[in-house]
Amino acid sequence: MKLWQKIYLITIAIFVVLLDCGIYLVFQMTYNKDIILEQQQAETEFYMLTEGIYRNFTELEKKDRLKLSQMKSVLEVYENYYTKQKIALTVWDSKSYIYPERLEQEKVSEQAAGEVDEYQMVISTENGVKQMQVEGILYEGEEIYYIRYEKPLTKLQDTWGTLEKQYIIISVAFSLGLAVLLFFVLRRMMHPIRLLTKAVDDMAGGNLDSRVYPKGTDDIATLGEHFNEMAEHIQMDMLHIQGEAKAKQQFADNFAHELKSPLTSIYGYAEYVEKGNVPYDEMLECMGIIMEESDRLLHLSYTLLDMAKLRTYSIEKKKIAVAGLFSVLQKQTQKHCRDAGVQLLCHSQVEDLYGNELLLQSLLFNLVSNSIFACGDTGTVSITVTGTETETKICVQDNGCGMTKEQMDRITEPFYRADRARGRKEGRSGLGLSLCQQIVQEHEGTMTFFSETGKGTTVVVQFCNRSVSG
Amino acid sequence: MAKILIIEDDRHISDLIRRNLSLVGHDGCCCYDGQEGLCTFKKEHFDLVLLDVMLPEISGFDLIKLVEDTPVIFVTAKGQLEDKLNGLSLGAEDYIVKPFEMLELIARVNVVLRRIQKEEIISVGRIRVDVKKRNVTLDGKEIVLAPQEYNLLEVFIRNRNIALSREKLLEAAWGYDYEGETKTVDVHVQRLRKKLGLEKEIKTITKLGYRLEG
Repeated sequence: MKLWQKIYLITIAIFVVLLDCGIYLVFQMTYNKDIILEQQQAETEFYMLTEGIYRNFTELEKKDRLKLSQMKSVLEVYENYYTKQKIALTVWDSKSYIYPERLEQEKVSEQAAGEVDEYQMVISTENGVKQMQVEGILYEGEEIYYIRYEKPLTKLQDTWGTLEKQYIIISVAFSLGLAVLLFFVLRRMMHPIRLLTKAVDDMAGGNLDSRVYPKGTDDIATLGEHFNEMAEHIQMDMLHIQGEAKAKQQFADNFAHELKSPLTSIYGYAEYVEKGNVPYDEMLECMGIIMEESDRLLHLSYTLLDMAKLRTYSIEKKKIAVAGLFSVLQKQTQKHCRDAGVQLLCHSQVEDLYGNELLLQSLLFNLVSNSIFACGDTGTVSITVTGTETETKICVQDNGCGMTKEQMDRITEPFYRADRARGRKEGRSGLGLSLCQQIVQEHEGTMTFFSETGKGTTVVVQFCNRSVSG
Repeated sequence: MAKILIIEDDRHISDLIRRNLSLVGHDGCCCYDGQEGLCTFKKEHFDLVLLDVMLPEISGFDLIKLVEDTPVIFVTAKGQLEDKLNGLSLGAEDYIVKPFEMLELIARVNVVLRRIQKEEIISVGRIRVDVKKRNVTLDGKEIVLAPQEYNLLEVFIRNRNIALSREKLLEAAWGYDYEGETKTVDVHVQRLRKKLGLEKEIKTITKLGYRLEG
């Protein structure tokens, strides 16, 4: 059962019970008051009646005419008067009834004779009709006479019966009205919850775009807002995870491909030499190719290992002399520069910088090596190191072939080569800038590329001199 | 015999394919990117194109649409089933995944060449073989060969200059389900040498098997 249905049923039940109980109590009290009023009336009436009869009887006795027939005629007068009001009178002595005539033959039970004291009032029900009985001693002479005054309460009963019917109709009508109104009000109020439930269901079904649009400031609206926030977070995380998974898959695919190429060559040439009818000179040539390709694999594995190490271990940073970095770099790139006819210019405005020496050495080598590659046959590559107390900036600039916008966007992807055919031929792994990117990240810095096709490329690396935490 | 265009951006691999094909008498021509490949294809006539998929300039999957009326075999590192299906649905004759074996490459190339009926008569030295008629002549004189001897000779000729193991020869000339011993091969090789005067040409390669040179 749904929440709104529960609230609905419980509210209706409570309302009906309380309303009915309340009205019943009010009715009961008013009814009792009416009865008491009726009793007082009856009492007064009874008193007046007995007073009258008593006086008449006293007069008769004085005249010594208190005979049965005389008493009857007196009572008849009263009877006539009271019959109009549907009030019955009964008179008896200790032995038998005296009036009305139809009861004359009956003996009065002893109990009835003894029971009646001075005065007694009873309300009894006979055939579903309530009536009020007042009994008392009428006259005490030689004989004791008793009188009973019986007044039916039909009028009161009729009034209350009508009232009861009206009350039931009104109560049912009100309950129905409440039921209908409450139904619509609750449905209206629960509408946001239904929307929210649907949104959550949607989300559970995998639709991460699912959102609610809460109105107002109540609890449900707040819940809706929180839901939206949560959905936003989950969606972002999912996108992030998907992106990462895709990048990993891409890396694995590329890696497999990068492995397959040198392995195809190595296996192929070895097989060719083994099985083919190959002259000795060609055989040596093939061996050379096998070694070259093995070297390529070795280089690839070293770079991958470096990247893995960077991911796993935290690096140690210290003060490094820029001049030292430059001298190692020049040694490393000497042969490259000479072969390519490229001039390498190193310039620094600062003496020291702060970082990991081996990693920065690798960063510079990779950047310069890319620049030399971009220059092709001739050109100039210049490195400029500038810095302040807190920050170091390294610029590597070349006047080589440059890159297009599309190439720049993908340049740090693992195994991406801007010039694939040539890059592969010269044994470049396509991992250089991925490694650089990682090194820069380890130094909590940024690497930015500025390039124009045909004019050259500038790489700007910026990082803090002290680690942020230190 | 057949002229084959090799479009492959890894120079070592394309060179390797060219060398392998030239061993068995095919003439290979190497191109290192899609654009160059397309230009060369338009200039000259080729019997078959061996095509890499991931190529600079124009990818192999795009290039195959531009190469009409010439059979194409993909030679690629992309070994996923969907890549294969994609390649074959584009109209390629075959799909070879790197790294590949030399004999596999040659066998697949030969299957395609045979289908386009390029080679009917093959000459090696003094021998001429009419593949269709299964007829062999030595210096113009017809030599009668037993069917199994002929099969073996054809395997040798199609894979000439390549050392073939006895197992490989059994498999190729007798069939997969033949349960003979490798000695059978030796006996047949002796007969071929005698009948066709190939004592020098069919060389015994220690630990490997036999190789027909020429």
